[in-house]
Amino acid sequence: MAGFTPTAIELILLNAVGVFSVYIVLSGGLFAFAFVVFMGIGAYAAAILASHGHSSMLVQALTGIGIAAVSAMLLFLMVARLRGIYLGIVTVGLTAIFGALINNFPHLTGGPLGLPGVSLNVHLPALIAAVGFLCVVFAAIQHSKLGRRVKLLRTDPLVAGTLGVNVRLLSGGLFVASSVVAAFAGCLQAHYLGFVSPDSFNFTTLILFLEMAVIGGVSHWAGPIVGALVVTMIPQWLQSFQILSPVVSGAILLLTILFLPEGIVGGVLVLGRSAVIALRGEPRNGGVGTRTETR
Amino acid sequence: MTLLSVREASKHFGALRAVNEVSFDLEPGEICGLVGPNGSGKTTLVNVITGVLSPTGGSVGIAGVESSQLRSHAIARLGVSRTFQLIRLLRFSSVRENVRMGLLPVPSKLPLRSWVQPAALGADRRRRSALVDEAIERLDLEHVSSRLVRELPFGLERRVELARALVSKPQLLILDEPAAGVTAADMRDLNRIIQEESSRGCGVLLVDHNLRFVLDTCPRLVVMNFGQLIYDGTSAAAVDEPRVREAYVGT
Ligand SMILES: Nc1ncnc2c1ncn2[C@@H]1O[C@H](COP(=O)(O)OP(=O)(O)O)[C@@H](O)[C@H]1O
Ligand SMILES: [Mg+2]
Repeated sequence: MAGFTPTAIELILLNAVGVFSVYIVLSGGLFAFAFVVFMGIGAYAAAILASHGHSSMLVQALTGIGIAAVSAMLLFLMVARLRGIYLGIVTVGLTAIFGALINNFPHLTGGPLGLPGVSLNVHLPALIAAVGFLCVVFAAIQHSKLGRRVKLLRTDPLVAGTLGVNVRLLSGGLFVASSVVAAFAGCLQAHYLGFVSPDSFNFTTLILFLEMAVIGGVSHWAGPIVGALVVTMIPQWLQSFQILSPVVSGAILLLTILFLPEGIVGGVLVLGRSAVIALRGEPRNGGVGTRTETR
Repeated sequence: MTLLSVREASKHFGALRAVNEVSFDLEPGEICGLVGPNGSGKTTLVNVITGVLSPTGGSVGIAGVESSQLRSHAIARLGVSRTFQLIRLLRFSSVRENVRMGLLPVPSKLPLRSWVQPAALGADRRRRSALVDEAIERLDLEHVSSRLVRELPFGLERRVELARALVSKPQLLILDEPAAGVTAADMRDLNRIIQEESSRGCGVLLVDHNLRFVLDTCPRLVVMNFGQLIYDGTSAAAVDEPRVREAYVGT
């Protein structure tokens, strides 16, 4: 397929890291949309430390992740009782507040102009390593007891509770884990671009990452990569019709929600299953219609 | 020790007294029917016992543990399993996967060091897998075990939910209207399984709004009407009790 330039691949991988943070909360059924704030915390921690002469990327990453994790914990204690749309509204609101804050403290954040001076040391190998690491971790989790708990929490929190899942603890854990990955993604982004700007952490970013997470799907660890790939490549594939790309990604999002509620990855797996059953020639009910007669 | 001890438990929704000062005990191995007309508060009482709802008054004890302030996951870990009046399964997961979820409340009894011993981990995995196989077999679900729940023919879903409740070998099993819309063969199997669970020492609370199945299965009945317990005694005597008859007139 055309358009997979090295830059495009780097962009896909960079976005995929961010999408994993959205995947984490959505896979537990939490409509928590503060991930842009945590990405911003990770990116600005890197840039602010760099502008004060702390150039170690490790120190920057750990600082950003630490601040994000602690604020996520505090935030969760405040919003733990909220679920569904209410949690969504509060966390979208936080994104707006965060934008206002970075724009209005130019001494620290550079204001609307952003902050330059982050070392440009993230390239393709680092991005491949980061995404590879996340894939291994989330593939392992998906097939573990923890993965089963998360799936149950997403599908039916009431049943999850009656099957021994500590719903509040697991939700909080997912929220904090999401903030950690988001801050990491923010730090990577800062080191990939060499600067940070408030334009990277606004409502548009929120929609973009949400779109990637939903299109890829939250029921399989490969979802974030597929989502990042599709949404990142749409503008490339539509080279001469750039103006259409929001329309096309909106349409893909809508079609995914309508026809593949588990996202592209989940949808392909279900279709694959049906195909296998059809090829084997088994009847759809496995011959169970005769069960009561034969017993 | 008393397995379940409900003491003046109440659940009020605003002015509606869905459950009002209900008290009764259940011993290990006992099979008790919980009956009453629709809307009499049976499901609400089950929700209070299992921690899905917290009571507005009174207390609940499970195997000597005061549980009315515990959340549902903690109660599940005390060995309480339940099914739901409206079946609640993961429709996009396989039968086996659903049944395996029933093992989530059972802690791995592995010592910490075994996490570096593949053999111990493998043994634990095989033990759990065998438990799942056993539950699937008990409910005659072998031939559909890899099917997604949403592909199942009608009538098998209750069996899957029951298998999920049984796989953890609970000490208290609460079945909310398990006989609704099932065949005579299903009823026979259900009866057999309830007796088996009881002889293993598991207490069974069987909820139904229809007296007939409960009378055949349970030596003891508690009857609710308008949120209150109006009868607690043998099934045989229940049908002659005027208050019970009155509750069932016109239902
Ligand atoms: N969550 C709730 N909020 C308000 N009222 C409820 C709720 N759950 C049940 N009720 C009411 O409590 C009463 C008892 O309901 P329920 O326990 O489901 O009865 P049963 O299981 O015996 O048919 C009914 O009047 C029902 O409408
Ligand atoms: Mg009911």
